[in-house]
Amino acid sequence: MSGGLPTDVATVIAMAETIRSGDVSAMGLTGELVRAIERLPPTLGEGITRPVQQRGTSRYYTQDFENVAPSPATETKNIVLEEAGWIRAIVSTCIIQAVNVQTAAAVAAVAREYGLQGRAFFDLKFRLNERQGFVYGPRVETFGEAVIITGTAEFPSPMDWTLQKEDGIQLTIRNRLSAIYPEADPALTMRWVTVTFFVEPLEKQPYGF
Amino acid sequence: MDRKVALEAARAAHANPAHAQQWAEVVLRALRDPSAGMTKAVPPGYLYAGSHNLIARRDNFGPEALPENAQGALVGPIGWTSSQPVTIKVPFDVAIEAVSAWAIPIIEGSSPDLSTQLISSARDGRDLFSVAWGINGQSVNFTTGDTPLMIPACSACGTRQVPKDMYWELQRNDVIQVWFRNITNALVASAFGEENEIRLNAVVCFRAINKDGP
Repeated sequence: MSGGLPTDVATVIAMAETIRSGDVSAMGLTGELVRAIERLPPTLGEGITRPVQQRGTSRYYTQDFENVAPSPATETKNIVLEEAGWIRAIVSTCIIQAVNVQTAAAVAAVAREYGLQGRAFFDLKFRLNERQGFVYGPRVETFGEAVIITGTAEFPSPMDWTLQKEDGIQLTIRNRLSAIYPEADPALTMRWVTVTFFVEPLEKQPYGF
Repeated sequence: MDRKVALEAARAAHANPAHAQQWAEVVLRALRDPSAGMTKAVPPGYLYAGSHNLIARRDNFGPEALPENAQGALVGPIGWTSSQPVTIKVPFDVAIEAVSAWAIPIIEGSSPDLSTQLISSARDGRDLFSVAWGINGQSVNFTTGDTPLMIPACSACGTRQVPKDMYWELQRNDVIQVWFRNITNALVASAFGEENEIRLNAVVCFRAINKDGP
């Protein structure tokens, strides 16, 4: 029993049978019947997803940065949650643009060795509601290499934040190409960076998303 | 047990006590329904094939112009597309539990430069294209909080071996739209225009569990 309500189907069925019998004293049970059905444990089929996870509720909160300037310049953008959500993981991708196919293939080989999806080529830090940093050096907030902080879609970097509607995440990124290639080839540009949080809404979504 | 029907009927009984007996009958049928929710054990000797793959595919598609490419075309940022989505009509009630993606550049010519196929730095070529998806034309669920956008498939989808987990419950005849954008010209500056463009075959696969009973 949970809070005095039955948690097994057989007991709830018995409650519904009492109401069906027409017993006047059972008419007061209808409210309890509603709550009891809501609290029944998921069946095998329902157990594939939690009851709150209906429709397309796995969401991707993302920011993207195009044509990121070389270090020491940094760029900051915000993500605002449209609803309360459980942030489960973070992933990122960095697209380096090369002048030709051969150079692009060489860059890709470096990325495959040192950080899939180009994550070796940029640094990242993030804050919550502009108050608190979550990437620290020895004493103060710092940048961390994206390859360390973020994952890929198949192996995302786990997180566990529970945020409210309209909470904001500030993402700041820094181009690392000049740190890896000090004689930086101007033909390599940081064309597109995306940082994505995997979020499960914590409120039931009545209209699709 | 069909919780949805049982709950709606119980609420109707609560709202209208005069018809509570009739609604209680509906509640009982829904709670006892063995097929809804797959509460019925699989019969001996009957193998129930519940796992399905819902596939969205685009073959042989080229890149779109970037905002400041040499041709001076101005289409929009990389995070969106002007192309139409590929649609999947969901054949039965499903729980979509994972998504994976794959792409490969098409190499033409009798002595081709195979290095074109080595420009990907993600498994299964997933950084060669970006994706977004929506349901029933309602929305896309990739967002900054203000603006919808597409993201590289390597951030949105897993691989064939390790799909990215998802939690969707869709109903029969729901329509999933999947947008694809070839972003190889973001990787190779010269790969644009009919002569030089790198065309792709790409696919997005949703792993689905059939929620209808056997």
